Amino acid sequence: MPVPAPASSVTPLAVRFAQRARVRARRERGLRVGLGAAAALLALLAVAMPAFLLASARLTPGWQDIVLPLLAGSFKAAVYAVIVALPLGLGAAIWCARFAPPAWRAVLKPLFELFEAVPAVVLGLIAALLLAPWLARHVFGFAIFLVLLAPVLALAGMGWQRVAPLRWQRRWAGREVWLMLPPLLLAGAVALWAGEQFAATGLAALLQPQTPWNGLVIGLMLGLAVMPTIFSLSEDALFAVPAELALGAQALGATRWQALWRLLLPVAAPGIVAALLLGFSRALGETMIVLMASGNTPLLDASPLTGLRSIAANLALEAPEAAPGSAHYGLLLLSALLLFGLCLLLNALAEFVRGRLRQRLAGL
Amino acid sequence: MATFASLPRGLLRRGDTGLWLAAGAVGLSLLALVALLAVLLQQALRAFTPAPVAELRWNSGGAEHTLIAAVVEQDARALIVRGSEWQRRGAEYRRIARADLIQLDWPADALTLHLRDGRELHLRGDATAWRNSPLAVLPQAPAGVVLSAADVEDVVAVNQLTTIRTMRLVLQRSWRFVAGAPDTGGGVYPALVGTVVLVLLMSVLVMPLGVLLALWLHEYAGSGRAARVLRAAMANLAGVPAVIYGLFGLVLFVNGVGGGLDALLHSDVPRWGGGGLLWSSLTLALLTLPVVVIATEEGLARVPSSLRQAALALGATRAEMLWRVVLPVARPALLTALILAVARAAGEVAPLMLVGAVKYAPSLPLDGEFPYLHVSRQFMHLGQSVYDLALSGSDALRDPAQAHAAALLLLLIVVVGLNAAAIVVRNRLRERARELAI
Repeated sequence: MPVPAPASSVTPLAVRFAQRARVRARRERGLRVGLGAAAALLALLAVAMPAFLLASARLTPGWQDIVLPLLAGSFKAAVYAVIVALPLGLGAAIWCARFAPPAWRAVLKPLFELFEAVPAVVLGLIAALLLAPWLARHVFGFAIFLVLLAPVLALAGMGWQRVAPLRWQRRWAGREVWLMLPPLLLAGAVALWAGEQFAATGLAALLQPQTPWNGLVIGLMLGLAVMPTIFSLSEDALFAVPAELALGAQALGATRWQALWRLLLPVAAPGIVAALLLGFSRALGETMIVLMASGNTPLLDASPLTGLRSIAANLALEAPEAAPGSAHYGLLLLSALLLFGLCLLLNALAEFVRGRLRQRLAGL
Repeated sequence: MATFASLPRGLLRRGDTGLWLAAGAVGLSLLALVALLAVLLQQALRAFTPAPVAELRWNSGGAEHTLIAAVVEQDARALIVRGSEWQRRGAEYRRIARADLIQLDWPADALTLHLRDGRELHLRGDATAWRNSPLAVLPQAPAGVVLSAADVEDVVAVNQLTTIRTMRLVLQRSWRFVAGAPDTGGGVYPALVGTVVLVLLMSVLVMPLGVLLALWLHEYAGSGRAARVLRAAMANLAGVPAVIYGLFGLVLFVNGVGGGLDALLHSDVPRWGGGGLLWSSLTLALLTLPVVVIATEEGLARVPSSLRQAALALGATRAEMLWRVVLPVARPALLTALILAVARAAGEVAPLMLVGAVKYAPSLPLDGEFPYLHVSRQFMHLGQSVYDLALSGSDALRDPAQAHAAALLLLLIVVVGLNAAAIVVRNRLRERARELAI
């Protein structure tokens, strides 16, 4: 049994403890102050950015003629990008969340995440130097491909389900992607061939773009860049829906697709809408792809066959040369404020919608 | 609500049409990714493969012309050739229509001399003889052009290349591209140095602040109003486009603080008021701050509370618990945050175009003269080099090819090097958290 120390003597350990207590308390206080300072700095930063833009932006008369075509250009690029990214991203998310074997999902998710990390300047380079000239020569073939795509895939799939022996169908059950590659390549080849054959017709002449750097190229490449954003958020939303819903529907006689279309998609709809909003916001703010491949012509034209100039690309081009304090500078900051406000609004809306999804899933 | 039994029967009901369309979407995305990578690889290889040399005779303006030139592109209607560049790199491109062509030979003894400043000369001769004997003046050179053996970097017999020799040449030229400067025939070494120095400086600025913020948000703030407001601010800052950060850096740092510093120091040459390394690092630190905070918070959340409570129970103060127990356990998350921030900084070009990256910087930001790290200098960046080589290069055919090579390098560094490493580290973090929780 330990001998209790007499009340009047103090052990060396207690002395050392008492000495160090001051230092430790000081460190604790210092950390608290430091962390509070960091938080205050973040708050300052979050307020400083819009404040600086607001302070120097100028509403000079005639600002509509300069800023509105830029805003229209940004919207045009973003809308075409989302038109390309939504089917690809949502389709991939549906397959990955509901129909893919776990091994496929474990490979596809990181792969798309890696694709999201590809620098935009690389995509802009390929769009400007390779995709734009090629597409300018093959627009008609591309249009035929778009028209052929869904019917060919649907027919190939239905044909497989009706004609192929059951043993084969069971073997390829989780690997429909491999089955769809030959029809895709075939449709592409046929469309390109048809495009070359009918290149001299009136319809082909109608589709000829005025310049190789147009909304179509931007839509394709920007859509490819934004697709991983829509994919990962939709996939998370679909995966988070409890499996019992779909299993219950299938027990009542629905096919997997019917369970998905009529039950899971409506339940996960807020998450998908949030994904769409965030993808649109990302496409609005994307600079390098639009800068390199859009031609940078400020037109108020909705056609995909003409160029555009977006706010972000305009900033990258003109901000280094604008003299601080001039009217040009003020207009540039005004356009930046518009872009900032739009992205902020879209992000806040997406957060709100995602909150609704969380509430809905919590209740299930 | 329509029941499943009341749906129309037949083809559309029994099939899983949507399943095939969804699988098609995955297939199309994967095909697009593969096509992008393949096309980039092919174009980058073209930048380093020597073009075959032909001897041409053609009619133009009634007169007959002869030339020994490298044929860089050809289609059914015309040839694009590059003659010997006696004066300037990129000044000897010609387009010759096949209809005007009289004779086109591929002589076996054709040589390409690669000069040290990137120019190419084409002539006929014996490769070993050229390599061994020093030369004073080439007989075919126009008057006034003098070359010496020191100018010639390599002599290649282009029409007699075997596959192995071509592969060796490609590797050699790729190495020269990575390790050389732009004025010696194309190189990205200054851009690589600039990118690395930028990223290091940015990490030093962003990691302490980001970790402190994550600690505050996770450990101290709880779920009070301040915490919710700051989390919302963080999420909104993460969604702001990068070019707005660049503009903010331009307005506040370059024009505001830099202009003020210049005025204070009474310097007539704008040293701090133009773009520079310091302002770029600060701008990128702001840009990647949300990434760091979110990744670090994720790691802090995975530290089991039993560890924290055990430390507190043994008498540690909160600061000691965080510094000695929580942060060491969350080290993989800190590493992930650093890697993600670095990957983002290496790939962003738009903000840097506004605050300090330039097409050509005369000196490196890190060199041998005091103070060794020059934070007020403008610098070159790999992404900026891709943009400049592609759209504003001096050689209409070789510079875009080099842009593809630089883009491939950037892709390899950012995607394969950094992001893949982040995924590996994050997986290890999850396994470790599982081990700790047992």
